[in-house]
Amino acid sequence: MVILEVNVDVLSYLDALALILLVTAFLAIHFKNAFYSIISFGAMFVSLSAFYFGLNAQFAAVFQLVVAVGTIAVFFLVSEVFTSEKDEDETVKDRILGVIIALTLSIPSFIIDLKENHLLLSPRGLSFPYAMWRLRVLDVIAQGVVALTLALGIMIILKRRSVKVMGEK
Amino acid sequence: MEYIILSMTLLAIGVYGLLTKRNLLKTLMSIEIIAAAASMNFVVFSSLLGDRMGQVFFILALSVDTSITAVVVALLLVANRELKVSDIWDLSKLKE
Repeated sequence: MVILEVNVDVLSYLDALALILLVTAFLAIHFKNAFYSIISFGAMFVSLSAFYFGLNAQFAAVFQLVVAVGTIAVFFLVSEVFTSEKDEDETVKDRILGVIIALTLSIPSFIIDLKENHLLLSPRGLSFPYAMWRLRVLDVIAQGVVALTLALGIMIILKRRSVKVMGEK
Repeated sequence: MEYIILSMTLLAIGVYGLLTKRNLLKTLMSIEIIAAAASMNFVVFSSLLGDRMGQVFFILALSVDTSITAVVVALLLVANRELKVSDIWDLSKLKE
């Protein structure tokens, strides 16, 4: 059960980094110009690394930063190859729209509050992080989604095949 | 701020890019974003629970992800050299 609660606290250091992370991630996808897109992608990795540093995970932060540098270098090198001449730059209006959409997307992570005491995942009173990490709830959910998608795909294929067979008859 | 929602939003952005963008570079970026969203959970939960094992898993996941990206970039460069494609849909020519 998810409890919605408006969080009116002042943005902390981690909140600001999370905001930058989401905005730059969206802009990396949104920008049509490969150069701007890769710059935004690099900014996303840097903010992610700073985010890990803020979470007191220094090793992860440094490792993320090192890997990001390599990835960005490779992306810059191959950007010329994968960019066709037909690609046009977006207008300023498109860029502003992208930033607005990205800011809108970041709202849920600030207003939704999964309170440990109210999250009734288990009658034993397990906290949300405990359940996610110790009981691998996310794994179970992801595997459920994969199984359902697979079942749906098989169903669609069988249905198409039966329609084809009926058509031939 | 809820880290789970943050991770899910990042995942959604990656899936959006994967589904809507046809440029190979954007597709690669989307895959990287999805991988970053998934591996972020390891760091967040290890930090919240004070268990360093999550960081170990993160480093392992990131190494594998980077290796996959390198292999994919190499394959795409070969495909681009052979078929002159920069659009992911044009890669269906590989079937011919």
